[in-house]
Amino acid sequence: MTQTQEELREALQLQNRLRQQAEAGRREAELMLKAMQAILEAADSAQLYEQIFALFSSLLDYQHALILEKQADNSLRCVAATDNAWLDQRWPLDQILQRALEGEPVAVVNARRQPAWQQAIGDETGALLYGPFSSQDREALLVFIHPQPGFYLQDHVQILRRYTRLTRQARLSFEAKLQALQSDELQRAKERAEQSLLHAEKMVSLGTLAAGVAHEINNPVGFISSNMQYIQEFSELSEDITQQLLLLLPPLMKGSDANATAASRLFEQLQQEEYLERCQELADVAKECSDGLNRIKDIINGLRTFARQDDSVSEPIDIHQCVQTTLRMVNNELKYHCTVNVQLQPTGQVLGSSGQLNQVLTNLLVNAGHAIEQQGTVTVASGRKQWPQGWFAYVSVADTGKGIASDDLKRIFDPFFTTKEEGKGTGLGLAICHSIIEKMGGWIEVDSQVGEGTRFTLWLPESAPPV
Amino acid sequence: MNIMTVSSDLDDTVLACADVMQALTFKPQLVIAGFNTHHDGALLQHQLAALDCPIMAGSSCLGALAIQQRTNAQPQTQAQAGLVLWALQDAHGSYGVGYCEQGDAPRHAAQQALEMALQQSGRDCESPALLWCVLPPGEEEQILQGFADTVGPNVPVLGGSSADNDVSGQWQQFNQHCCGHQLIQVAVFFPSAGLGLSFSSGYQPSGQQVKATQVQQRQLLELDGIAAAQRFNQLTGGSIEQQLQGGNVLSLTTLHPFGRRIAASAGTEEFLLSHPDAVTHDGGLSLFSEVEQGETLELMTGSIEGLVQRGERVLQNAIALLPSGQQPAGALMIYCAGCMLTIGDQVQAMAQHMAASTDIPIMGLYTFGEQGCFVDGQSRHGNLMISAVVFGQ
Repeated sequence: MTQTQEELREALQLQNRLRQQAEAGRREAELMLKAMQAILEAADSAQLYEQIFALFSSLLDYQHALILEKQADNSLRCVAATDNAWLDQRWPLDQILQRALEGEPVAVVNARRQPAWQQAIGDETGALLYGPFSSQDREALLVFIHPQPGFYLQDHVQILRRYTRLTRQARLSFEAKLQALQSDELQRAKERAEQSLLHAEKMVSLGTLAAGVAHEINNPVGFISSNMQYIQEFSELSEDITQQLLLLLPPLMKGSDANATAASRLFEQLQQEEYLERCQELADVAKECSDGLNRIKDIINGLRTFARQDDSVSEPIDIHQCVQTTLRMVNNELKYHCTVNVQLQPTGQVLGSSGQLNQVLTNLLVNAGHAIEQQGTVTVASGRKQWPQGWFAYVSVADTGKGIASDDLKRIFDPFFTTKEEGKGTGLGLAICHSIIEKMGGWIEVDSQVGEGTRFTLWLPESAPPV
Repeated sequence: MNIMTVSSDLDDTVLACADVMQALTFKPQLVIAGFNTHHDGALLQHQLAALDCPIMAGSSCLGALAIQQRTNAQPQTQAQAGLVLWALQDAHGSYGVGYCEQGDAPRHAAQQALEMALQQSGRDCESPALLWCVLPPGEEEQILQGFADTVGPNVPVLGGSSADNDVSGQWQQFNQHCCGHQLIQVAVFFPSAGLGLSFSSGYQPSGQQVKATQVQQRQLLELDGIAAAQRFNQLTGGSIEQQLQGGNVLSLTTLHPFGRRIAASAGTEEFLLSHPDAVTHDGGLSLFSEVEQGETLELMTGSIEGLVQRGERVLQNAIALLPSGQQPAGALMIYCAGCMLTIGDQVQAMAQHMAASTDIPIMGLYTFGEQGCFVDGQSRHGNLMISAVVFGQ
């Protein structure tokens, strides 16, 4: 019986100790997770330090907590503390501090035993606990101070060791993920560059061809246009004269003299030949030809613009101003069937020609309006993002229109490609946009879903990183 | 972490040393040793200096316990080996041994010894995971105070007071540098893995309580206002009737020590034991540990069977208390010499129970006083106690 009681008592004690260990472990795990969250979510260092101090206060006792950062002269400087009196104090780097910086937490029995503390000892300075602290780009230490010498034990060292391991793993995972993302971004950038190069080669060939063709066509179009003007004017004159003749001839036809006979014959001929109608038709045909020639002129002008992109102007451009200007210009195109949302976030300045950027935005906004067949929304947004190659501003134009089929998406930047009805577009607008944006060092992204809409995003390099 | 226990039963000291050193399969970073006083400590110290590493050794009553890790055969278990070495190799840990002659100022001597150990570990500013001590019997409370002066009261201290075979004062201690009878020795441990600690008595409270009404250091002069020996005799049904005028009562009181309540977690209690070893000429009881005047003492009861099972349970508790996920690599144990003498031949069974319960190298010392750390984190000196420290891999 006695033996059983003893066993029970001891088993109870063991269970209590194991339960305490498990509860301590659970508490610690929860706090570790909170610490991780604090690290990942803190808006700035000050907030991070404050949260870390608060979290550790429920995990271990301390009178003061400090963050020491390694300085260029190898000393450690207090950059954060639960008591501001510690701020900016310095400690010479010794073996213990070095070990802690290298990742091994240390419990010091009494600050008075550590020479590095001789200048910093206060009445409340007893035991010390050091742990490496994950800082973005500097080596740093987390330091806890307790007034009772010998307060910190290897149990506390283990807590900090687990914290260090966890945060280090989290940081490594985070950095690996970031690296992977950056690799993806680089890969995408590379593919973009390759596509851009291919496109550029194609464009150069087309540009050369277009410039030559434009020049060659321009001359005959010029004289044809001039001749057509003459024909149109002459047909109108002929029509006018014919009408006068048809009024003049009937009185002259009365009589039997040769003049009356000739007048009758001419009158009949004019009627038989439907001369007046044909003069009118000739005027119409000439007008149609002039319209056709005007379209040819538009195309030639487009080709000239396309071929003339090297003549780039490099001036600082305020993207928001361009957006506002363009929106005013295209307002009439959109206002009857589109709701226009403007969501502009800050961007840096970009370099290029504001006129050309306006041209691009006009093109995109007009296209967006055309894509919406009945009622819809056009959203213009802007912002900035850091890519591996630097900071870029973006402007996006999104519509809720009919969208672009995936086969067409591959070709939308090709010259003369258009999804509009025949005669309604030259097919050069997006090619010109593409050419302008590339000349500015950027690129255009397109996302489109048939039946849902299309978003064009212009990415342009900022002239200076954000301050 | 590598831990190995090697032992020899050879009577010849030189041969025994050669025997154990030959059995070692790695160069140790630290050796803790136990030996029977039939070996001369100075000769052992001289022979084992060839190990060229910090050593801390203490004599153990009738030899020391050695349990070796199983290889292909059954574990080699020696309940009372003449010489036992517990060797440790831990490339990422730090260890040091310090010592000081106890002299007239044991507290100060303890500070000196611990400072030396910390210096040797190379981590003299830091808080160790464990202090393992080998002490001379008599002033353990003062010595523990000296350790606390240096590293604070919360660093666990485990160990035992050196013992001889017949309580005639032949106990010895030695280290890499010297040998003595009154040496305070302490090893500091900064292991690379975790520890599991257990300190416990194998006794039950009987329900009978007495008050220490007159105390002089380790002598209980009066209990409940009457001569201590007489009161104890009453409480135990005449167990020391023949010795009331004076004499050794060590073996007669082993199963009826005094216990002091130590509050543990969740309302449970633990008991720190004090073992009466003799009746003084004036009817008092001398103890192996101090009690406070005015303190309430619980008369404890124990059984041989309980003491036989005890070692294994304390060991298993320590293993259970290793940090989560860590496997045991080896253990050091302290088993009260009084308990060992009480269970007599069953010491073999006690050792076999331990060996069968786990497959790790273990060394145990049979001591005349035990130092250990209860759940409250305070290290204390007691009697008839058993302790274990298990090292994680």
